[in-house]
Amino acid sequence: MSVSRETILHVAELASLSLDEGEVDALAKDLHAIVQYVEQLGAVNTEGVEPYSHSAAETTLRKDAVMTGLTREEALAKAPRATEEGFAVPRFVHE
Amino acid sequence: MSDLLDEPVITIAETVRAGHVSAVDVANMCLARIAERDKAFHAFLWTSPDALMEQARDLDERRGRGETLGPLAGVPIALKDALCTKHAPTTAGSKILEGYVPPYDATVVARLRAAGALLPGKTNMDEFAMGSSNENSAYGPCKNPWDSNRIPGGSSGGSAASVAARMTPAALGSDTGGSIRQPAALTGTVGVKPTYGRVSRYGLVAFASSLDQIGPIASDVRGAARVLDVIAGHDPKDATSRDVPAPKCEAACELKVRDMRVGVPAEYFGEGLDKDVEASVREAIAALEREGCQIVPIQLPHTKYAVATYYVVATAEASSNLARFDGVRYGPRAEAGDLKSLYGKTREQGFGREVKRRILLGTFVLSAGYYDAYYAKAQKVRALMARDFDEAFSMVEAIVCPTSPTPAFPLGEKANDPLAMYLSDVCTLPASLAGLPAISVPCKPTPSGLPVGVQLIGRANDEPTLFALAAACERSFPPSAAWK
Repeated sequence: MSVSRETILHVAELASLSLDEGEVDALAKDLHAIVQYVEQLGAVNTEGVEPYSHSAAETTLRKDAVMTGLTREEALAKAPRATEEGFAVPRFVHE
Repeated sequence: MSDLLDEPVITIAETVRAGHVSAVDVANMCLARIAERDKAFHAFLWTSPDALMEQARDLDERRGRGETLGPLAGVPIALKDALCTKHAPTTAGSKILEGYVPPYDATVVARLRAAGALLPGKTNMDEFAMGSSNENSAYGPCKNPWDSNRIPGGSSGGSAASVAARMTPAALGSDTGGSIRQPAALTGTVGVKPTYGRVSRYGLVAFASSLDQIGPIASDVRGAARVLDVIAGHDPKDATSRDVPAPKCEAACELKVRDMRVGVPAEYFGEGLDKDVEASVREAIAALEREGCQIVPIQLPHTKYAVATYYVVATAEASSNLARFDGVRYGPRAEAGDLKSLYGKTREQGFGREVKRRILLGTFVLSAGYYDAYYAKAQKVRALMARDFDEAFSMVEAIVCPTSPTPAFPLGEKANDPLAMYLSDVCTLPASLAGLPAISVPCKPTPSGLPVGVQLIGRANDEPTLFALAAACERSFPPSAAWK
C-alpha cells in the first residue's frame, strides 16, 4: 500500500483537519514510511485469534443516580464564543 | 535547609508530619529551587505560587490544631500538564489548549491534595503525550538535567527532569507506550506504570484509552510506592478503574526476593540495544541474582511486532479522542464563515506536526477498506503478545529487561525521523499493550555518566512483587541526583 497525496487529502477531510498545501507532500512521505513498516504485521499468523480487548467483566459501572455536575455557567466559561444558552458557532443549517 | 528537598518523599513527609519543618517552608524552598534550576531545563510550563502557598498554610494550620496530616504532607509533587487542575492551566503541551484552566481536578490531583501533597506546578511534555523526547512540546523542549544538550525522554520529560534535578522529590506522569518509564530511565529516576485500570484516569487528557495509565516518578523506590498507594484505587468517575483491593506497595518494598523467579527475555537483548545499556542491565540482573533471585531465560516471540502494533492501535484511538478539540467548547478558535472550516482551521493551527501525523495515520487505519488489514490485524497481534506474557508468567513471577535501548540522545537527533523515534519505544511498548504493570529503576550509569534504567514487568495487579524487586535493585544502585 502506498500513501499518496490523494490519500492524505481524503483522510484529512475525514479527520476535519485542514492542511497547508506545503505540508501535504511531507506528510505523505512520512505516512508512507510508517505504513510500509506497519505492513510487517501481515506476516503474523493470526488465524483463529480474537482481537485483544480489556475484559468488560472488570468494568465497574456506578449507580445510575442524579449527581451534581458543572453549572451551565461553568461549562460555558472557557468557550471561545457562547450565548446564554450554549456554545456559539456559525450558522450551519440553511433553510 | 533547602537540602530537605534532596531527601526522599518519605523523609520529607515524616519531617513535616512531625512538625520539624513547616509546609510553608518546604513550599518556599521548592519555589526557590524551581526559580534557580529550571531556567536551564524548562521542566515546568506553569507554576502556581499563590495556590501552593495557600495549600501550605492550610496544612500548617491543620497541624497546629492537632490534626494528623496525610501520608504525603508537605511533599512537593509536580504534575504532568495532561492532568486537569482547577488552580493552574492544563494544555497537554498543545497550542490548541493554550490558556485553558479546567473547571475540575483530575481524581489523582484530588487524592494527592487530600494526602497533603504540595502542588507547585505543571510539567512540560510532548504535545498530547505523543513523543519520546519532549521535543514535540508546543512550548519548547525540556532538557535532561544530566546533560542539557540531551533530551530527558518523553512524553513525561518535564516530570522526570523535575525529579532528577530535585526540584520536587516526586511527580506524576502518564504512560501510554512508555511515557513514564523511558524518561525515568533517561534521567536516573524511578518510574512506575501501574496495571491498566489501577489508577483512575478521570481528568487525564486522553491519548489512547486502551493504554493510558497515570503513575509516579520519584527519586527513590519507596517514594514512588507511597505516591502510588495514595493515587491507586477504584473511582466511580472512571469505569475502567478496577474495583480490586488497593496494593500495599510501600510495605512491599520490605519483602524478601529470595527464590523469586525472574525471567530474562532474549528478544530484548538483540540488535539495536546499546552496548553500555546492555552491560548495565546485565549488572542489575547479577545484583538480583546476588539477592537470591532465580534468573530464568524466557521467550516473548512477538516482541518484534510491538512498534508496528502500537502505532496502529494508539493512533487509531488518538484520532478518535482528539476529535473533541474543535474550537467550540474551549481553547483558541480560528474564526471562519462556516462550521466545517472553523473545525478544520482551528485544528490546523492548534495541532503540531507529530499530532497531525498521528491523527492522519489513526484515521487511515480505521477508514473503510483498511480497518481489517490494519486495525483488526494489530489487535490480533496484540492478543498474541498478551499470550506470550501469560505463558512467561506461568514460569516466572517477574521479567527483567532494559527500559530504553539507548541512553538519552542529543536534542534534534531523531526530531525529523518519526520512525526512528518510534523505534526508541521498543522495550516499553509490550507491557503497555498487554496492560501489565512495569517499573523502571536506575542501574549503573554509562561510562560517560548518563543514567540507565532497568525495567521490571509483572503480572496484572501484582505491583507489590515489582516493588520488592525494585527495592532490591536499589540496594545495589542507590539513587543519585543530577544536580550536585
